[in-house]
Amino acid sequence: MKNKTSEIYFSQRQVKILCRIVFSIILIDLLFSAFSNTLVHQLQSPVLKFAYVDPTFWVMHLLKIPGFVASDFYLSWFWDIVLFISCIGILIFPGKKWIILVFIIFYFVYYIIFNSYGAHHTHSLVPFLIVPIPFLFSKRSFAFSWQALRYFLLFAYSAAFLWKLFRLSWLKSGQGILILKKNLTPYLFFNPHTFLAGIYFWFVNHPVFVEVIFFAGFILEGLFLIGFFTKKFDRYLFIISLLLPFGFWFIADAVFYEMVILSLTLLPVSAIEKFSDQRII
Amino acid sequence: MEKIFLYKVYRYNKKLFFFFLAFAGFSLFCNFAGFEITPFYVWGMYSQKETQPKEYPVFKITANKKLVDYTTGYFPANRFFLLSPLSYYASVKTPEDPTGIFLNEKLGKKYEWAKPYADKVLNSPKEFDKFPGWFKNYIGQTTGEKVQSLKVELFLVSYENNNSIKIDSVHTLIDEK
Repeated sequence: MKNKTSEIYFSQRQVKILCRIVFSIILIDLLFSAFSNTLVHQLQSPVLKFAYVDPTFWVMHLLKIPGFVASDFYLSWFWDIVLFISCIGILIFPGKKWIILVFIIFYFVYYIIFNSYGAHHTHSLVPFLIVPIPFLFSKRSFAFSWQALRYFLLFAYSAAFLWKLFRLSWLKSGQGILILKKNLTPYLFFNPHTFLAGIYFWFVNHPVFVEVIFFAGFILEGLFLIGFFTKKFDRYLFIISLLLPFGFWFIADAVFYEMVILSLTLLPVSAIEKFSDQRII
Repeated sequence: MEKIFLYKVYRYNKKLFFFFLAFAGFSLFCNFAGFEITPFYVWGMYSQKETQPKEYPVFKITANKKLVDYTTGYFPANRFFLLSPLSYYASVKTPEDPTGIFLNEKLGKKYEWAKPYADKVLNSPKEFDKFPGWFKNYIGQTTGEKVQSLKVELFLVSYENNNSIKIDSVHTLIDEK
């Protein structure tokens, strides 16, 4: 399983299995989008766009691509159908790179539409935009690209730690409870008597526990820095990467479950082997 | 040295090495500058210091005289699309796009150079006027009912001894019949 230039070598079969795992998750998320009324044809020709100061968004809007796709009835349907068909096509033919390329192009435009007309540049779709890219590469280039994704994940959480560290928000008294109140107040206002609201009100009354969770999350993010120097602790980082989205959900009502797809890069090749041995995929 | 990932990539394929190096370099630059250029992301993740607000905003959406409780029963992405554009619309104090105001303040006289492009990218007052109609349609898409009447109110609320939430003031944002 090892060679001179790469620590990890994926067999063609393993790449196909991994590809199917990744695109199964993406397909499930596309179905979630359908139930969320956020597919392009469901957006009802949105009017207010938010390009902010991201040059990529500016170029896309100067070319009028997001508006053209989102406002045309037939084109918006076409966009969604291609997203689904290309995703299913990849599951059936995981080795066909042109289908992966089609998916990436269509998903990129979908990502721009979602963030522009959602009026907020959320990072929730970023993992699904990035994770198909290694599958465009062959053999050892794939192995290196997959490892590069691992570094991308490490960077995301490490950067979150460093931003908090240098902005000194980890020292800010009441940072956790202020985030909680900022994001959960509408829920507590409309549903003050639910079990979950009871838990939140308890935390509102005992803010020190929210600070403990916030600080623990900050430290856990910092642990991803270790991943830049060794892979020995990847299994622990994998578990942490599953825990952090729960923390974001609880404190900030932000559901970042998409980040979990990048957590796959922390798993060893043997874990992929298990999938193939058990013929799960 | 031989254990370093980028060195291994360099030994294997120089094009791939420069691709990764450029991506890492731009990502680091964008993070140092605090300036995001897709796909070079800035992962702040709630790192901004929060300030204690006097009041918290809560939107009350009433469609066909029924409350649309966007806080429960909807997928996260649906909630995002119900709330985020509405918050953006509510935050606009003048018919001018807030990004244009921001760029004008940041760039000063240099903004004149960017203005022709900005006019094509930013929202015009006409687009802000169209928002209530779009929101009505999107509520209809979400609830599965044709929306005849839509009322959106902005409640400014505060916590009472941390045990309950009280309404301090109410502002009507959209009232379409």
